[in-house]
Amino acid sequence: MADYSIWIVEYARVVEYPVGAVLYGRWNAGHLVLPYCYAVVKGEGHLAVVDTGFNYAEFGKVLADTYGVSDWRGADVVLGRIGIDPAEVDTMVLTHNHFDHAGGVEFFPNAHVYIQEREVSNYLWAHGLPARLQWLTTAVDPDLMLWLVGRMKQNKLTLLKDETEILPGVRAIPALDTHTAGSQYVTVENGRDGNWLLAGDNCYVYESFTGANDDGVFVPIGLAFGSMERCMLTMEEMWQYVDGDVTRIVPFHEQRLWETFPSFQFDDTLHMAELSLAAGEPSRVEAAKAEARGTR
Amino acid sequence: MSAAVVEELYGRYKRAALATGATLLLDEDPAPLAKAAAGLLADSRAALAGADGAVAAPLEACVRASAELHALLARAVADGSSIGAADADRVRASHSDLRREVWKVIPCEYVPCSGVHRHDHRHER
Repeated sequence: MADYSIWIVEYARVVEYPVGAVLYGRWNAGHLVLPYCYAVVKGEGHLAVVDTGFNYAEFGKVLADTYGVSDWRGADVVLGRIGIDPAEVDTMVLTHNHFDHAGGVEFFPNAHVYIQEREVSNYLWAHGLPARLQWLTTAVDPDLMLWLVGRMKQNKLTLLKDETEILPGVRAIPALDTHTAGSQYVTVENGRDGNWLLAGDNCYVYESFTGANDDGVFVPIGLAFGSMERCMLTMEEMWQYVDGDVTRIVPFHEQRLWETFPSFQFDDTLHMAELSLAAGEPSRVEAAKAEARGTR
Repeated sequence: MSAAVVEELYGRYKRAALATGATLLLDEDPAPLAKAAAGLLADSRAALAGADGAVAAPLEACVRASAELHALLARAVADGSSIGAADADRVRASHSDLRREVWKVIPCEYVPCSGVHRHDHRHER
């Protein structure tokens, strides 16, 4: 069985985000803190990221400012905190083409990229639509597709069509017509501590699974370019994969990650959570705590 | 000439650029898109010819970006295997310039209506 370390790094946040945009139908439920995170998976001779964050420059800056995103830090900073140089990352899985997940691809110059083919082919379909339907490409930018052309020419791109084992025990699972046309999530079968599921935006917060009133009735995500039915059925598939243990599902916008797992909050208020440690891998949380004790 | 023209042309450009990336990645026939890009370039030039004020700069950028996109697609029609990362990067650069100019007259273009920000949809324009 494979043995991986898994960390979730927070690289920015929205301090006041409408709950109704996170959980479908909860229009008058106020606001929450929405962290922006991605995952680092290390083991079996590989170093992988699931999503990339975004670059707070040009496109990313305009969107971040418009959304009210604050406290942004680049991959060099948030990965540097766990002793990782972004240039060492050899594998990049993009759960979907939205700026806060796929807008930081250039931070990882040596990574082989995995994205669902459907996330790409959907733009051929969209081109044939009348302008009045352009909302369907609202949240995406052409830059990633053009950047991927360069990656393809360097033989560092794989377009996925089906469930695919990317690394030993690490699989990309298509979640088509959900949050986006070609969304996917990632599963990790860890010999040491069981199954993990890195959700991307196939759920934003645990409450999608635990229910709005903690009644166990699933609540779909607040934004879907595909269908709510597909979102719900994908959530069921995810829930089945972790045998109903919702803490094994890792949403990338869930602030309760920091209390669910060993974590550390840095001086700039951003967090890092340590989900799993491979044999011989030192704890980054303990190291950060020790360093903080030494400097405070 | 109003910002609505910029919005219409940029919307066409954006969909064409997304589809161009997809076409090259999926090894689809680039000829239909090359034709669409030629039409976009012609319409952008025509709009620029009658433009002044705030919309002149984004329309100039639209002409440049459309020309780069058309050149890439024309090359793909002639010999797709000759396209390299540098060719795609030239289109990316011109798109970046276009986006920057467009956002000076059309805010809120990418953002679904769910963010915390106070929207300015410029319904008054």
